[in-house]
Amino acid sequence: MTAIIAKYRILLYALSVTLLLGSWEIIALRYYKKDDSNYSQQLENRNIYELPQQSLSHTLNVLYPQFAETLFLQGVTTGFKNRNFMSGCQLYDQALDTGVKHIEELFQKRTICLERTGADDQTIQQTVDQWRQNFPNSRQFPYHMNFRSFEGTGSPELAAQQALKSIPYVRYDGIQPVQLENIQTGEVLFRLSGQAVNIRDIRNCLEQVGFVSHR
Amino acid sequence: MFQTGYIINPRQDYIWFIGLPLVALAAAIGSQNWLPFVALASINLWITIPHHFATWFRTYGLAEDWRRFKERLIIGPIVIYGFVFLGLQVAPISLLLVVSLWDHQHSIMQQHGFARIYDFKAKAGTPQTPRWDLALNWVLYGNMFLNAPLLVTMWLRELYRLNLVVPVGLLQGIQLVSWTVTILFMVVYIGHVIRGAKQGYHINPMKYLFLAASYFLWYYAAWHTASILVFGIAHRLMHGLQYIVMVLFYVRRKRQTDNKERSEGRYRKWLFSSVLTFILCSVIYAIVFQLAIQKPMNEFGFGLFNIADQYKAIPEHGIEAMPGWLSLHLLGEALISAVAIIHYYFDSFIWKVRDEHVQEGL
Repeated sequence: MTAIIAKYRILLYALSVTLLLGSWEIIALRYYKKDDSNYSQQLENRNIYELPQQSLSHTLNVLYPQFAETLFLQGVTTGFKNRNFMSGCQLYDQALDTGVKHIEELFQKRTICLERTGADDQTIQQTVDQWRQNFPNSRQFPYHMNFRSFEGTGSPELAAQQALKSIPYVRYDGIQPVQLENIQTGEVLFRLSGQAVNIRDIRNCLEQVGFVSHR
Repeated sequence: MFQTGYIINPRQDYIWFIGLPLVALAAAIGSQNWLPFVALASINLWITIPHHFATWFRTYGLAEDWRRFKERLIIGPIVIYGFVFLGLQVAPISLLLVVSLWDHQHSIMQQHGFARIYDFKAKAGTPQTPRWDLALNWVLYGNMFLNAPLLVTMWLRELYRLNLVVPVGLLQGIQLVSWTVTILFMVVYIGHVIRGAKQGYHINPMKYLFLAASYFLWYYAAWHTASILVFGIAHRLMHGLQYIVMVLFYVRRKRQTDNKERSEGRYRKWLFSSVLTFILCSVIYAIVFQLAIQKPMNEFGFGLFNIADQYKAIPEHGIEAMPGWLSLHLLGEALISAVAIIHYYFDSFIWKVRDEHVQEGL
């Protein structure tokens, strides 16, 4: 028996550590919804309100304030605390200025900021190109295309869904209302794939079925 | 006092064990400037996956290894696959953390292993040096792990995901202790080396050059960039290539020294003796691996070219224009068509009844 334990000791160490951490994971996280695969966000949100001095964004901000991950997380936290996504946009810009390429969500959030501030298509396209070049195979984060209103016929959901079917690299994801300052706007959500993505083409396609752009 | 010993020979050692970390770092910084993030996946496919193949190549291919470790080579994968499947179902964060921690330990042990080979070859070091070297590696790597922003951010995030909140004051204290221990240990380690030299034990300068090159790569990549791209590419190039070189050298040397009696491969001789064949098999292994995990083939292309982008819709075959993630469908279609065509082509010349050689078989 001792000989067997000695022979497999490395495997046993690994199993023991997994068992220990796994038990903690099961016990400590049982109150969090696991089905939305989002408990890190839930924990962070809880910490922001209940233990602001112990949140991950606070800790990273004290240790490495200029680090890209820190700036990105600060942006998420700022938007969340103010209940205003746009208040984090400056921090996303700062994070991208460090030249970081590995945070896909950062590219996605920057496109949301640009869409909601009414930036021109060329500026948006540059960020989208960066996003797609770095993550050509990812469909993890949806693109949010902002519109002032819908003046087409029928339901906007159906119109958007039908319109986007003609573009092979786009998969329709839904529609959501967005309040920008005092203006009620809406967003068509879709996922992109591949590197060659043209934002103007997608916008044209949606405008043709009645979505009214800011541009 | 100094006695130089090499793992392979002077030329190969300077290329793979001293020069490679510097070249890998330069390549990684170049990748950060000129290549997209998908390049990391490409390095994974070209280097990391084949370096796993090198392990299977040695363990399951070398007759001696198979005989000596047979039980563990059979039971190990069954147990590991079992707990990985279970871990993914029950405690995925813990599993990820364990994989990540084991990866770090594995990196430390590989560099320590090479350092030991240097002393073995040069007959250098005191009887206590192996333990001192192991401690040196753990202290240096541990200090980087606890202080470098790139690494701290990663493990801290995982701890938060596990709801293991570390107060910032405690973290700063740990980091201060880590630096203090590292500096003190370096002083004591140098004392050990000097004491050993005074007692007549040799020092192999290649070992220290190798360790300096390795830790320069790690420390520079972990501190001076905010990008996983740089650290990931530099580390994987060094770790993977050094491992592959070591396996090829080891297998060859074993076959030479024991006249193939104990170490003759279970594969054919050509696989063991040809580097080109090994590389080809590694690439095929990486392709099969990529197919098995259903990832697109364009990840082989460092983000510079995209297989799928070159193909528009082929309505005659009912194939729509291919987004990157669908390139597997194209490959599948190409395999079916190409294999069929190869079959037609071969049959056009191997089955000639007028051929005397064919007649012999009829």
